[in-house]
Amino acid sequence: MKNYSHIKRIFALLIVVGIVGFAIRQLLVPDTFGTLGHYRTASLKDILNLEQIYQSQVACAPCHEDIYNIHEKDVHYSVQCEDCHGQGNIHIAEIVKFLKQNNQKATTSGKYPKEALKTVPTTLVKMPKEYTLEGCLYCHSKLDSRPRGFVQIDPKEHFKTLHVTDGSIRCVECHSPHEPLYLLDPVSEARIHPTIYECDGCHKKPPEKSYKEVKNHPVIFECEDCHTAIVQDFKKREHAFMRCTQCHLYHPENETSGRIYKNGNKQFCLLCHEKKPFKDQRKDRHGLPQIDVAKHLEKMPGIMRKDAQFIQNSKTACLECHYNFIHDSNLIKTLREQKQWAKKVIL
Amino acid sequence: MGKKGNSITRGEFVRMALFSAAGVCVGSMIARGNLKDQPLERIPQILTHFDWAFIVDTTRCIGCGACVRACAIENKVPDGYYRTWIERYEIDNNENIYVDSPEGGKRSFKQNRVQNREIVKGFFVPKLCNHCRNSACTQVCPVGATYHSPDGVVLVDRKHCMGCGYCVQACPYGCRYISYDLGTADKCTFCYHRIHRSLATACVQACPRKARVYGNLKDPNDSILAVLHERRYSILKPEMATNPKCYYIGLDLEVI
Repeated sequence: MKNYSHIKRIFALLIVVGIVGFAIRQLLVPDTFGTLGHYRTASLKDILNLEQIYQSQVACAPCHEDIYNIHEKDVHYSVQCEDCHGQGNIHIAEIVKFLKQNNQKATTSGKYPKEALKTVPTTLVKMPKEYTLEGCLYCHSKLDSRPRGFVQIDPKEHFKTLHVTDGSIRCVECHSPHEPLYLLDPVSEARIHPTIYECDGCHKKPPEKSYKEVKNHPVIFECEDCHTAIVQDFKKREHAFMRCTQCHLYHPENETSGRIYKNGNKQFCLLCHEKKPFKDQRKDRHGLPQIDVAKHLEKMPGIMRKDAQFIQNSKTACLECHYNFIHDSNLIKTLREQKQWAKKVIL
Repeated sequence: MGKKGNSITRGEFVRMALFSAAGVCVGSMIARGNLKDQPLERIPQILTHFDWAFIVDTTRCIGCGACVRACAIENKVPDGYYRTWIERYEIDNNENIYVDSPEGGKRSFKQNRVQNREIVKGFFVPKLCNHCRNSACTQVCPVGATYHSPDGVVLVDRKHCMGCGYCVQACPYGCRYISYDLGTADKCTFCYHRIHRSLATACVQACPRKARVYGNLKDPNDSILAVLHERRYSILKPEMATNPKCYYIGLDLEVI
C-alpha cells in the first residue's frame, strides 16, 4: 500500500493557508466595501454628513433685514455677505446657542421669532468688515483680461476726475458698501432695454454703398441715434462731458439684451458733489462744485426751508431744483406725455 | 349615509385619499432633500436619480476670486492648495501667450501681468475638478479609496486613502493635492454635502457674475440643460479621452 501522508500534509497546509488568508482578508477589507463598486459604500455617508460652513444671504436676512433689503435691490445683490464679512457658521451657531440657553423656542421650520432675535447682544461674535480699497478692487480693478462691458476703475484716474487729493482713502468714504450706486429703483424693476438685434430694426432701405467688411459698418447703436432730441439738448448743458451710461447704467444680461438702471438719487449726485476733506478745496480751480448739504439747505429761501425735511428725505432731492443742469425739463415732459422716448431710425 | 361606526362619506374618502397621496409625495421630496438622514441601504437607490454636471462660462468671469475664497472656507482647503482656481490668459500683439494664477486667484489679480505690451486678447478661465466619466485618477488608486459615486461625482474616501499620491500624478488637469492635515488625497467634491441638501455649491453661491452653473443632467427641468442647449460649449483636453462633465462656454484654443 502506498503512503499518501505527504499529499494529506499538502492539502492540510493549503486548507490552513486558505482559512488564514480568508481571516486576514476579512480583517483588512473594510465593511461595506464592494457592495456598489470597488469602494466603501459607507464613505458616501461620511461625505454627505460633512458640515455646511459657507452660509448664504438667506441665513443673514432674518436678523439683518434692513441691510439685506438695501443690498437685495442694488446691482451688487449677487455679492454674498460672507465675501466681505468672512465665514458665518460660527456667528450663527453662537447665536443659536445663546437663544437656546435663554430658553427661546424655535418655530417648526427651525427659525426663531423676531422678538427672540432682538434679545441677542450685538457684541456677540462680531464679524469682520473688509471694506478696504483692495476688497472692492478684487472685482473692479482695471485689467486687460476683464470683459469689456464690466465696470473697471483705475483708482488714479478715478481720483483725478473727482479732484481727490488723498490717494489712500477707501471706497466706502463715498460709496455705501451695501448700495454703492444708490439706484432709484430696485434692480429687479429695472427696464429691459430694447436692444437692436435684427438688422431690419434700423435698415429699412438697401444701403447706399456696399459694406463688405463687417468692421467697416457704420456705428449706429449710439444713444443719440434713437434719443436724438434728448442727447442734442444734453450736449449744450454743464454735464455734457459725461456719457449717458454714467447715470443710465447699462447692464448686459446676455448677448442680446440688457437692463437700464436709472440713477438720479440725491446720494448719487453727492458722490461727485459732496464736500469732503480729501477733495481739492481750492475755490479758484474751475471744475467740480462741492456742496455741504447742511449749509446748502440752510441757505435756501424761506418757503423752501419749510420743506427742508421733505428735501432731506426725498430721493430725488437734487433734481427737484437742479433738473435743468442735466436735461431740459420741458423737453422731457413733452416726450413723456407723447410717450416718444426714441424715434425710429431708418437709414 | 350617516357617520355611524367606521363608515365614511364618499367626499371624506376622496379627501383623505388626496391628502394621503399629497403627503406621500411631499414626504418623499423631503426625504430626497435631506439625504444625510437616510439609512445607508436606501442611499444608492436614491442617488440613481442624479447625474451632476457643471458649467463654467468663461465669457462672464471677471476673475474676482470669490469662488476660490468660498471654496477654501467651505472645504477647509489649506493655504497654497486649491480645489478651484482661476487662470488668467493674456495674448499680446506678437501672439505671445502669458498664463498666470497668483495664489490661485484667491486675492484676485492686482495688475496686468505684462506691462509695456499691447494685450489684444485676455480672459479668465476658472478651473475645478472635471469629474470625468472615464477618470484617470480612479483607475490608478491601488486601494479603491477614490471612486465614482452612483450620481457621477468623483469622491475620495478619507478613511481608506493612504496618501500614496498616485492619483495626484494621474490627473491630467492637476485638480488633486495631498492634504497635509489629513494625510490623504483631496479634491473638489462638487460640494457633495451641499448639493444633496438642495444648496448650491459654495463657488456657485459665491460667484457674483453667475459664471458658474451646476445641475442634475437627469432632471429635464434643470437650468443646466437649458444652458447646454442654448450655448456652444467645449471641454478641457478632449484628446485625453477622460470624458469630463465640466463644460466650458467660450473656451479659447489657447487654454490648456
